[in-house]
Amino acid sequence: MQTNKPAVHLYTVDETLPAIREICAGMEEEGVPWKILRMDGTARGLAYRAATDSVLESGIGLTAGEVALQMRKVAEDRPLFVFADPTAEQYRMIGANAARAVKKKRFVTVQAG
Amino acid sequence: MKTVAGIDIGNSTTEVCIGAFDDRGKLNFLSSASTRTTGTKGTPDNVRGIRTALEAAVQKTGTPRVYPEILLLNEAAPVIGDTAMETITETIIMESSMIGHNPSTPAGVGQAVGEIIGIEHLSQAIQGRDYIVTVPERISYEAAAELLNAVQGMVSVTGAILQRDEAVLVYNRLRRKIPILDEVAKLSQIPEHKQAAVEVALPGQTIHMLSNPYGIATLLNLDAEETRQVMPIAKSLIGKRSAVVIKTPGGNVRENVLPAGEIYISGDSEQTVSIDAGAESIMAAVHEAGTVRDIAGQENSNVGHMLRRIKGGMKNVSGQAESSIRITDILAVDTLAPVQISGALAGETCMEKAVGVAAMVKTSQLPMREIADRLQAELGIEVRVAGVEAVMASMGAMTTPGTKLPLAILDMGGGSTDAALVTEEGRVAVTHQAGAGELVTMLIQTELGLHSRITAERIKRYPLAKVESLFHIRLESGEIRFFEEPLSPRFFGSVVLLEPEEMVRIEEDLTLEQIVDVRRGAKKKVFITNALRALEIVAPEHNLRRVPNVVLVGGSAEDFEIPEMLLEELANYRVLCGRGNIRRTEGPRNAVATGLVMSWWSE
Repeated sequence: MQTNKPAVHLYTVDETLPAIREICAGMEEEGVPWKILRMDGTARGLAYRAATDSVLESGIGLTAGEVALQMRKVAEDRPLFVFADPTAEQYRMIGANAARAVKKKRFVTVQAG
Repeated sequence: MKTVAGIDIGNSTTEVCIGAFDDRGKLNFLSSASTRTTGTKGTPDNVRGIRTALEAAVQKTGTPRVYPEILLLNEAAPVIGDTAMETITETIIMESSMIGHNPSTPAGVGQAVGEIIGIEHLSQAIQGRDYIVTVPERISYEAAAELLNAVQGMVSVTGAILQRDEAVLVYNRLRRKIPILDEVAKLSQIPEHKQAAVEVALPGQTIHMLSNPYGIATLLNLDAEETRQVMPIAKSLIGKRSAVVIKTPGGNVRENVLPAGEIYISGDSEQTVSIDAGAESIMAAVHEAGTVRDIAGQENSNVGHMLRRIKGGMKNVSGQAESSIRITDILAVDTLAPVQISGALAGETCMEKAVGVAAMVKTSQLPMREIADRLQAELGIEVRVAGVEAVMASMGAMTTPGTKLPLAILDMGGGSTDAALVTEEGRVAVTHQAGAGELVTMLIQTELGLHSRITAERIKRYPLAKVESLFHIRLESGEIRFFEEPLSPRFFGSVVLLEPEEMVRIEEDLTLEQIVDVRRGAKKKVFITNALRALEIVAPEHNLRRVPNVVLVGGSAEDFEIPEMLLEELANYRVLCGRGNIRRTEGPRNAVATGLVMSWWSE
């Protein structure tokens, strides 16, 4: 990592995944900056690393069918949120909550798709 | 040696105290216990709770267990309290003339004026006019931004109202920036082709133009008469972060005064007072009436129903004719309730005026003998009904270190606040006042707009904290507490109650400061008012300054802040006041049960 600006980190196995658009919309509406990196791993593992690397201590891990949200110092196997085959609303919610973790605002919830 | 158990049946708890007298009459306390009262105080249903508490107390006497030879039941004060709320005002939005709410993320800042137009009708827009665009749910933020950018230079769009939570997303994609309001649920009800003004406040601030009648007049070109009419709109928008005001001919926001009931007080003089006159006038009427014989409420009003309900309750308990059951006191408290505005487009609420009322019903006697007989039959132990509640409480309170006669007690329970004053000669003055813990709970529930009474009850009892990260919370005192294991994400960013065993999240969107303000305000309104009222009645010559030391007993004396509030207030009258510590060990509980045991020898 050359520079580490304050941002939520989104680590994904594939930065062309359409889900990224929804996740980022969630963060954008909350007004928190983010940074996307391509990396191999599971959603949980990626989220854990993303949160560890993020100056804002909030990270998202995204694979083709799974997404996880993590905050720094929380155990890798206990992500704050994790969804398999998420709906568009759940992706948006993960983005919003990654931002809300930074803003210290309570998390929003959506009905399971 | 003789072993005696004192039993006190209260509105909410049943207390037991076991003591043993030696042959010279020296009393040795063995144990005590407390349990929830089963059934309504003063009914044979209480027996079940009494047996549970008695069993628990016997268990605690050690090995070998000591069983009491005599049970003493107190002559419970025959009073029952109840509470009701009357909302006095209601706000109605006519013809969708206003939106004012606090979406978490509006976008842009400042004011805008224009004609309302749906985004799908932008092609019909006329050049040279200003427009405020409404964007329904089915249009995505990208499509909305694209449409708005496409007409830039041709149509003047000055502001936007969104149904979805996407204000920032649209704003970020606009080439020409405008104020945007979002999360307006009933967007379709906004009338097209009407002039409207939009305002979004600076971050951390609230709107200032639309919450000012002249601000609205400036933006919407109102004449003096119209400006008068928008006053309620401006008033209901105070404190909002974003708002829309629409100029509709018949449109307005109206504040109605609801027909609240009247209260009829018969005492030394007859008094009639309307609930909507407010708490001060009601309490003045109560005072004016002198010694109250009975109080009734107007038919078919909330207060009328409430007063009838508690009379009916007492009738069932005591089995006496309704004519002998009288309401002898009420306490009225002004309050504000957030009520959803009818006709609101975004679920807005308005703080409506309301009056909370606690009433107390009194009968000549409760059927304690019936309970005693049942208990005696079931346990085979002699059961006596002995002692007036207030006198027993005073005797129990005397076991608090640092007290002496003359002594006043303030028994703060759930339904009523009772005071007794015992002089050095042993003369006792007693009073029962309506309003105690349950009225506090109701005020907390109303003022915070809580869905559940249970949440309000918990807010009353437990201190608050803000969950600042998954590893630490900030207590309302400002202290920080850390956790080794991360908290559940459910708690993150929330205000929580610190109950002894667990943390409970407040579901409503309220700040810690708001809750603390309301909680402390409610306790002061009820307990300070009632402490002063009650002590004034029992005080020598009704002069508060002549009250000796005051010992606080009863369930509400266990509260974590009420005793301090009273100490501070009574210090103004140079009255010593503090939470009782019965037998040096029991805190403010168990005073009556302890007094009963103590009274046995003297008989």
